[in-house]
Amino acid sequence: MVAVSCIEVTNLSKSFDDGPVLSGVDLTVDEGEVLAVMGPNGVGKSVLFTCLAGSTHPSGGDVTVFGADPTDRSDTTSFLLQDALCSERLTGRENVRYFERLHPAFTDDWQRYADRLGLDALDKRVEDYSGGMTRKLELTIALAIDVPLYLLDEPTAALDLSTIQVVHQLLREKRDAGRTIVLSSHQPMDADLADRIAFVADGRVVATGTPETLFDDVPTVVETRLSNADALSELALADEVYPADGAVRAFLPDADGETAPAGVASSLPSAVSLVDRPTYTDLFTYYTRVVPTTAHDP
Amino acid sequence: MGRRTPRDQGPSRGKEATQRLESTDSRPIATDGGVGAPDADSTTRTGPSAQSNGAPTSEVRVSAPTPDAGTAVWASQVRAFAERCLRELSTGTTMLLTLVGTAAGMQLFYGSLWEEMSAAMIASAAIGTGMFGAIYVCLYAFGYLLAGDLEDRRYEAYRSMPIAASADLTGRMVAAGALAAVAFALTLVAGVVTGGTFALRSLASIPVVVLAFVVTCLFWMLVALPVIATAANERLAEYGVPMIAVLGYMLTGFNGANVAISPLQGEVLNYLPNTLSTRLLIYHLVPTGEWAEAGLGPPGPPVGPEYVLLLVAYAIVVLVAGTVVTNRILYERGWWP
Repeated sequence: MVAVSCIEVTNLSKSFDDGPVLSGVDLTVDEGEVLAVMGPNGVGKSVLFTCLAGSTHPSGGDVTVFGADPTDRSDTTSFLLQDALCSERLTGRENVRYFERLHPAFTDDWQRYADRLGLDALDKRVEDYSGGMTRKLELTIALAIDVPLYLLDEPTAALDLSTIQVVHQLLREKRDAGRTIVLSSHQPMDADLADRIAFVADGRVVATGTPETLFDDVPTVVETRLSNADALSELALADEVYPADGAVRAFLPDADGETAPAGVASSLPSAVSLVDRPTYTDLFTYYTRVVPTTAHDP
Repeated sequence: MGRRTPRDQGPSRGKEATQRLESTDSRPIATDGGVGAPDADSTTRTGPSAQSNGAPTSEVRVSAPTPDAGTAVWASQVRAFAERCLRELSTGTTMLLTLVGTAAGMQLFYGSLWEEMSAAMIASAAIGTGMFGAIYVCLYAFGYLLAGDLEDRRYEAYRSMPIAASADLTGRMVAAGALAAVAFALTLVAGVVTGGTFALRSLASIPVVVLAFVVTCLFWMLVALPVIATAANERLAEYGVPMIAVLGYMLTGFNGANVAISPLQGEVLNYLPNTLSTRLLIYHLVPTGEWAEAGLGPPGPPVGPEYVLLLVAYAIVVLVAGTVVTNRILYERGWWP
């Protein structure tokens, strides 16, 4: 089946008074897919989402959502923007009630989402909510809006592991119902949900692809104990040594993600070992911290 | 998926919403006004929400707008904004009572000091103070909540939704206007308690009184709008903007109700937006033939259609300015819906 794109971003740039945040962003999102936009805090993910949602006019380039400029048309998208949806002075239920009246595509599904997410303090004021509770309420509202496209800015931030699993399940259900989901995250575990991943660094998209193809391009990973980190520094690609799974890791500067040549393991310094299967943390680190510095294009 | 049915007494909201999206929302509310331009609505690219099986599609459908649905959505959005504003302002009892009761409290305090004053003068002063209370409430209620929404980046979310900018503006004005009416009415009651007497000059006074009050509320809310929209500062809105009401009250002698203590003198008191409406209200609500003896002149009362027309002109100017600011600055959509 030929994929039909619902979002097309070409050479997008966005600047504020204190300088550029995004520059030369190209991105395509196909209908019915889950795209995870990943990158560290402060690289411009939220600004990219506001451009996709039509909340902000780009400084340059083009954005189309379902063939239209999103600043001209706003009935196709549900946008979860961190900590910007709910009024703290109102209760959770009053906030829901507000969006129920405000958005013509709001559905009664909010009750089901609230139940699934364990949002059981609907009659408390949001100012008394924890960060996780606020995020659950925002997710409940955003998902209850029945539209073709969901733009979710950090939907799993501040949530515990079991709730993140529920969120992933809810988003999979949305995808199975034909909806398109674009979510941002700096948590590697959210990559598990994605059909494709776009990594953002330094205000641009540095890599996009399925998790499999992106993993294929990750160089050989080695690890050692924290106390032996200096041994890795001498080997590390782009001098990047990072913590992972209770140890410290680095990428070897081997050729384009090829399997480490035979004999590499025996030539490694003492207490440094090869990692059999890179994790999402390795993937995240490689594309957001190594690729931008090496200008490597997978 | 579960859908709303009981409260709506009709098709489920989800389905209804989908129908609206198909029929009216290809541009309608996004660009304000409830119903989009016919050419914009002639084709609607439908997404999964419009599909019975939810499968992704790029199908382009031809559909016609339904103005009734657009109007219903607009009214629902007005209600959403109005209800939320009222709820937010009533979360603190002290804050609410202070907001609507300050002017009445002032009238009770001043009234207890005015033992030698005539009933007409007390009533006039009560109207002047009541208008101060109404203006203060409008500036505070409208500006404070709007500034909060801007500071919390809520407009970034609103701009991604099919919200009519005019519904936003109207809802906020309805809420602030309702509270202003309560503040004004309480002050008139305080005026009666302190010895003032009120009476309608004639039946024709009713629309003039309503118009004068509504225009005053509109004017001062929309004075706050550009200040808040550009500064986006909740503290400025809470403490700075309402000072406009205090300054107007002090500089014009209780909004034109006591010319002897007004630094501004002469005909100008029949033309300024706060004094014109106050003096119109006094003329139509206070039974006195001795305008000057009641401390209201010179100048004479603003009798004549030209004063009402001036009020209407004020309303038109501020509504146009308010619509432009809301559409352009808050929703970043254009100069006009």
